[in-house]
Amino acid sequence: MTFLEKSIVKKEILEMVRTSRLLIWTVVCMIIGIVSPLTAYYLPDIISAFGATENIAISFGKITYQDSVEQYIKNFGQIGTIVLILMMMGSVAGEKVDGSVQFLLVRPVGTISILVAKFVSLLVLLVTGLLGSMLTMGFYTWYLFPGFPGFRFIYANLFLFLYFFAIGIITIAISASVRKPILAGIGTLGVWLLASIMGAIRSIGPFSFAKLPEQVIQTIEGFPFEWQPIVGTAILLCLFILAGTMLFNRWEPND
Amino acid sequence: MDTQTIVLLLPLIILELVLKIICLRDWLHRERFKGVPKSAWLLIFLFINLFGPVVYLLYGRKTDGDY
Amino acid sequence: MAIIEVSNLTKRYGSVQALDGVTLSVEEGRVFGFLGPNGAGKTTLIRILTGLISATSGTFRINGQVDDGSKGSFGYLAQQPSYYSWMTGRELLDLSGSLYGMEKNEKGRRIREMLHLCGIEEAADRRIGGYSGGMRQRLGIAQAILHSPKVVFLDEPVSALDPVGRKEVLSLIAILRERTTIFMSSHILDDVQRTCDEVAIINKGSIRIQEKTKTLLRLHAQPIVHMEFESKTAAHQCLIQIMEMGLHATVSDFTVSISSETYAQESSRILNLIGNGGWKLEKLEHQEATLEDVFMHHIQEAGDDLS
Repeated sequence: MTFLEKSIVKKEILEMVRTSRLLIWTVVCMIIGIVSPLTAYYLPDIISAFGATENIAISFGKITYQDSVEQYIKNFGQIGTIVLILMMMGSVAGEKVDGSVQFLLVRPVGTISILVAKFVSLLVLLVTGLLGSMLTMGFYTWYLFPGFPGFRFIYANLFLFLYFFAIGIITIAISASVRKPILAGIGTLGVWLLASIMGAIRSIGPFSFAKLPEQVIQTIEGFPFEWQPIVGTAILLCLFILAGTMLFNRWEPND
Repeated sequence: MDTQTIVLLLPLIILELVLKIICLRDWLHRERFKGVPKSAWLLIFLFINLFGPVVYLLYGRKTDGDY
Repeated sequence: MAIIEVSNLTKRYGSVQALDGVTLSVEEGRVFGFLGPNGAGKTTLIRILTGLISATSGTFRINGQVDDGSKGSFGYLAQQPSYYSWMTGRELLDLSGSLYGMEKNEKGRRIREMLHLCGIEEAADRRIGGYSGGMRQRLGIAQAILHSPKVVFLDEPVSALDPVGRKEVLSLIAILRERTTIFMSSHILDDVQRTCDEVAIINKGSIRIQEKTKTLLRLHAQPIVHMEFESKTAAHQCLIQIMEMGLHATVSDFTVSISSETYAQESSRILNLIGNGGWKLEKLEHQEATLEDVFMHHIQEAGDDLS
């Protein structure tokens, strides 16, 4: 990282703090880390409370930490993804709309440096949030369920991190390509849905980045992870970064 | 509800309250809002859990710098 | 030496020709006024020169450099400047200094100097989001000149301000003229005339004329001396006598008007004549020539409707 990029990264991180993005994301992550094990633990009680009135007998297997992890992945895959897209969709497009992006563009700063700084600040955001969720999720699951493999859980979060890194980069890249934040949001949602649908196709499915969260479960269970989603994600991100940089270069203010 | 449940739920309630208090403090000092009127934003972040405060903090606040 | 050289620059938006072969050059150390009605292409040219948009054809050099190479040698203030509202003024200047690769101590010293020069010391540690229009504009000038650039582009620096703010910013620009070359666009004639050494008039995407302000005024507009008398009769009698001397003058009510040049040459004879006639002179007024005549002339030459 050059000196130049360092000062833009500083700006990005300061922005995340002042606009309360860092706080929002961390709190959301911590909430997910609490809700997931609690839902898994109390689900039989909740369902039987409803089921009892309808006179249906429901039987459950023993609830384990695996159910907790499954909830964690599911909640992050949905709520986490949407919150992250909401947070990042304005990252470049928002600055185009209010005109502040011109401050950097008239200075000896390449568009690629601007994007790199956004990616680095995304890393900081994700690490902070995931540390928060690992803390709450780790504690609750360890407390409520026996035999929780804490160390493998920490390691498994790397896949969740990679998944959100992909979502974040795609959002920023689309945000750099379009004129309005809402378009970046819709675009990323589209890519996300496509990747999820693609995941179901046998031939190319394993390469979808939507497969990354599943690796968390696999890793916690001690199985080796699959390489396909990692390679697929890497290729996809390169394409998005390339296209995003090119389209960002071609953007012109037109008011 | 037993004591254990209440203690376990407490951090969740605190985190949700933290978000709502941040929203409320901002909402009280702000005059200009995006999208919907001031009173509607209050209802949104008070009664929609998690997503209410998130959407308010990200997109409900009109920055003073806007023309 | 020409610090800005623009050669045959065009910009086309679909079927709209925003710039149509603009050629001009600006000497180092000048305050250059870029004058034209709204929509003439002023902002388009400045955005091309600052690298925000690309030209359809043509070339330009700033400080002898092209494209991105020129970015270190200019400062820019947009027509409606927008800065990160969550930052403080001081933080914005600090970021700007870092981006130009300024050394830490030098940066700190320059920031203090700029805050003082632009009169925003008190607001330096407040969020930009709460700045007034005038403060934002002064911060805009501070961020444009922080790194001591060779050229400063100011796009309509005062048009959005109230009269007090305008006066403040114009006097700030007058201070800057000793430090750097200024390229300033405006549609307000009076500001350009008072501030700029040299003027180019643009209309419908092409340059109508480029000339030193003084030359332009001498060639195309006339300064005038007005002599106001106590009565209409005195004014008329004086006019007749002046005409008899073979000089050109006009009269309206109590006032006889004569070109400053003529007056300068013949002042003793004219004053003698007034003394001999026994007419009482109430007021002798010297009126500067204005760019307005020149501007109107060049805008209307193109057959435009100035509504």
